[in-house]
Amino acid sequence: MEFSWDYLMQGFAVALTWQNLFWALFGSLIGTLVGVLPGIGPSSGIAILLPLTTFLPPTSAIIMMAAIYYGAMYGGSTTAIVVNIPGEASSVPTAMDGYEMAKQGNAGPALAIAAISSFVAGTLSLVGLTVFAPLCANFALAFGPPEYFALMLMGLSLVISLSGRALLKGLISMALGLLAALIGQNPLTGAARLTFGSVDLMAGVNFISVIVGVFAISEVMLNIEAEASAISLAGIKNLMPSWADMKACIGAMLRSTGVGFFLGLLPGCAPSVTTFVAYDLEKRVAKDPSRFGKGAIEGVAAPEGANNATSTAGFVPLFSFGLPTAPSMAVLLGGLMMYGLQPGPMLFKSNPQFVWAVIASMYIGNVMLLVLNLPLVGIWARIAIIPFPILGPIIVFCSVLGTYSIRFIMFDVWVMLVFGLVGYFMRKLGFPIAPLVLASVLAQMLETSLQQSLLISQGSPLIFFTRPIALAFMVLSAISIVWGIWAQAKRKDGVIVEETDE
Amino acid sequence: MKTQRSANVVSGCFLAVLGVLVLIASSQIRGGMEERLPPRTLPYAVGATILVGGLMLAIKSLRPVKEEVALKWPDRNAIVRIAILLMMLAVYLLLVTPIGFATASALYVAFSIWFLKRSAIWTAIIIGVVTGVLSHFVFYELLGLSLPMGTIFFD
Repeated sequence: MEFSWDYLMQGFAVALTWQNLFWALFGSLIGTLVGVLPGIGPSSGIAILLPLTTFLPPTSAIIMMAAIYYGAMYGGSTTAIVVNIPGEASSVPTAMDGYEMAKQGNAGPALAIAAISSFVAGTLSLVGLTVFAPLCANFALAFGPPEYFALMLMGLSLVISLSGRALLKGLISMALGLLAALIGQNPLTGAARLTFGSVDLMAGVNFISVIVGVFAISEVMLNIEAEASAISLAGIKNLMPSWADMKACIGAMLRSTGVGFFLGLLPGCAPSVTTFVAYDLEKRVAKDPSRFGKGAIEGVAAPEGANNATSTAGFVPLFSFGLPTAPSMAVLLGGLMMYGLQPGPMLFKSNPQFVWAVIASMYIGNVMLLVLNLPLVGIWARIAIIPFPILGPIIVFCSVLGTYSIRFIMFDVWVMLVFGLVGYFMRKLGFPIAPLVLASVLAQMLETSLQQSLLISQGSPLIFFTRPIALAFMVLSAISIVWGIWAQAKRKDGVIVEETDE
Repeated sequence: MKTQRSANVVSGCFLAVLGVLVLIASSQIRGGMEERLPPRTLPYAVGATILVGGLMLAIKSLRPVKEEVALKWPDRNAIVRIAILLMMLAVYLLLVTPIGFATASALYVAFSIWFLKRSAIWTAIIIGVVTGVLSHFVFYELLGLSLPMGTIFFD
């Protein structure tokens, strides 16, 4: 399987029909709105809108769903920057510096640089997807469960090391996320764990409930506490970034594209992991890393670039192997299967018109999103300028609807409420919430790959150290943790210091 | 829990207790030891991490520090406001099944907006009604989401 210009041109011919252009535009708009609306992330957004596509032909439907997905990735930064509500774990690093910029009156440049970085990374990674899609499939084939496990372990250890001076709290936060994910049935054996005989708990704790709870509900609580009349009104005036801002971000955009795309090829490496890796990388290469977390514009460009690059790269394993790399991809996979399309190596052979039309439509959608987002960034951001007494209940309504629509059980909504309280207290007590969220998302894949690895090795954990790729990830995990401990010890100055990164 | 240090001690102790509870609950998990990764192993590991992490946090924070960091807790009014909003949310969730998603959402949104901004009573009513109508016609009718219609009205 190799790249062919003929196939790509045929794809453009299909994607450029009026019907498909309309659905790409419609999907981009809806996706941006889904991303902008606090409490509804791409996964729940696509899940909610999936039934809408049933009246469309498969190619138009998948073009629209893909547009919703990458549109939500564009829009997701808006609420993270303006109201400090990252709808997804992947938007957490964006909020770290983006919200700080908004507080300093620079929400406009932060929003614009997020859109530009998303476009640059999205377009470059689309070139990567087009050229390497068939070839990269062969590389990912070399990955077995030990490599997946080591990779996800690396993702978690990176997030803990990002907890800065609250390394111990980061570890506890991760353990709490794993605890939430362990409730329910063992993914391989089906044995009930920590369910206390409850039928509801048997279904497990849905990670969407955890994400929406700790981010959206706790944010609403904090704003109610502060009696906020509106959230971050200041700073949406100067929309365009300065040339100096652009210059400062070019390197970050290119590096984050590389990080996001190549890590995004690997199943299990969702945007929630790569955005942190890209942010961490920028922090390390920066001349003054202390600016990060206090409104560094590269801290917005890097995660947004990585986010879009990973989102695009996620289509490679999805199309090539039928492997979803992230929850949103899993929903898209459901959409493909709903139309009787079985993603895998045969998809390129048996349905080349379909697969290349979707890829071509992504080029078009990316341009549409930049055109839509740059001039309309103020309009999208205005959703956050709605007075909080009005926005707050609407956020809660969207959160309830989004959480309920994943599995259609009220239990998930109650879990969301519980995690809203957990998130509120964690924020108050200085516990980072990102490790909890990431652990709850990755837990099942982590556990499954661990079980499969131990089955292969007949119980020997040495399997993670005897396979070169797995060993490399394990070494990187260890380096990350040691670096975190070293950085913590270096800053200690005899005073117990706590972090408030969220 | 007025300072970060005292909050760490209390939360560390709470986490240690949670860790013990997780360990006890994990010991009751049924499953064969013949499996490569018995079903109790990971819950044990997580429980132990929470227990040890909690204890370390509490013990580490017992040491006096040069400068105490004050924690910002809500005042009495804010606590009442949060408690009422949470109660309204709980009532909303309890009402979804009997009176339906659209009606419960309309009531919740209208009452919450009115509670947070007493002067905006008409805004509250209009947004509440719009929320209910959108819930029903867009999400239920158009998108076909199986939202509860209300056992009172339809059973």
